[in-house]
Amino acid sequence: MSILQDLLLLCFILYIAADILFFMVSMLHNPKMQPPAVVFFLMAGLVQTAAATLYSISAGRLPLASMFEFVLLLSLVLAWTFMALYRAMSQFHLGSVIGPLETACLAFLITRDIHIVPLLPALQSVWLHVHVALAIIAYGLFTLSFAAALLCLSGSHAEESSRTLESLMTKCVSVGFPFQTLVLITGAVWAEQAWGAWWSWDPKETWALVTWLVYALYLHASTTKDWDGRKAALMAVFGFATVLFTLFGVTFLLPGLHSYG
Amino acid sequence: MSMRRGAMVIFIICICLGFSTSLPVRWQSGLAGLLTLSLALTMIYCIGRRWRSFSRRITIHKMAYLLMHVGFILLVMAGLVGMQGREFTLQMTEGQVVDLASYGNSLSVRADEIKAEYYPDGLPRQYFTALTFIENGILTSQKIASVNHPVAYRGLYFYQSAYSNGYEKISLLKVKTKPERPFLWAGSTFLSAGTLLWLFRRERTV
Repeated sequence: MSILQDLLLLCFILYIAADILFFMVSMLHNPKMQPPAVVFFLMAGLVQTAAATLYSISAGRLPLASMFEFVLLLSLVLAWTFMALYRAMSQFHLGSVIGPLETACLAFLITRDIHIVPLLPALQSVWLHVHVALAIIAYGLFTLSFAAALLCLSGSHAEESSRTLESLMTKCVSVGFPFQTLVLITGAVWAEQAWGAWWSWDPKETWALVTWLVYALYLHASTTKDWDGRKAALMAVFGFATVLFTLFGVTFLLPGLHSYG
Repeated sequence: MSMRRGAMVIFIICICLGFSTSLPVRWQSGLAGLLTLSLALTMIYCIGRRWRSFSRRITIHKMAYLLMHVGFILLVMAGLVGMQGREFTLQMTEGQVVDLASYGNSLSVRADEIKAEYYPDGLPRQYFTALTFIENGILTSQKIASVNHPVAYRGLYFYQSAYSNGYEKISLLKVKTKPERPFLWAGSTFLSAGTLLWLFRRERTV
């Protein structure tokens, strides 16, 4: 596992370099740093992919069973989604938010003991893969909506670019919400099979429901007359705060059945 | 109820639900249950108020909305009906026969074999209990319960809960009646169908 630790440390350093370059482009308005920023981000993504692949081969399964594994896969999916958006829509400035988030994820990963835990009896289920994979998609989309929202709130973009960001933010929420719904349903089905209790108001379950309701609130409020880009962005930021608490706050502050950290 | 007021109701319920997780455990489920019941009642009221506009021009969009809201209401009903269910725990050794008459069921259950599978490092992989059901002295059914693979028999659901291997092998089984199952599956199906319809929606009249 020392190779894995080295890869994650290298990835962390590459993301820090990318963050500095993104800062120079976005805040110091130095467009010459844009190509190296993208190159460093891409390199970090490739190293991250190698790390996740090595972990999966060592474990003999996808990394879906602990907080370490979840963050490893979520950050990987987020990195490649940003690269795809940059290629398809030239959304460079999203990297100035996604980059620091990736750095934070890698900081979390390199400070944890890497210990591949075999799947305990409660995790011996196909629903593990379905539930966690859906959660990665949902929370990844909510993270993207947060990134677009922060850029909207910064107000430093041309009108067309702001409209594109608002559209991206709304689309991420519109697609993320159904996935979050399926996360709750598959989680309930799994809990029913494993523990005979499809919903037990475990703190993780409650906060996943709170997250679902916050984005439901976003979608309901978006139909009101005085809904605008600023309110949408603030709501997306609030929603991401609930995502963070659901993922990390509950795990470390409110232990329950979901304590597989 | 206007959409603005509906959004305000959702917001208040979000805040209160989040707050409920900081309460002592014995208060959490009660408060959270009341909040989701309030949300379900609000949904019923909103659907009733908007029914005329729903039925006037049906679109995939509206069908998705309706399925999702009705699915959520059915799940809340499942929670209410589930409170009527019975639950008890059986701690069984190999060969032991337990008469379930004291639990209100005219049958017995025997644990024929109890075993566990382990990984090379000694951590548990799976627990199994082979069960035989006996009614009026006749062996009627044999099934194997394991974690994530419960056994159902005559309205009773046996969940492999735990295992210990000290002086003798002991299997802990949680047994439940599940009166809420029809609401649970209907609610999950409606909510999933509505979610998928909404994900792939287009504004077309049916």
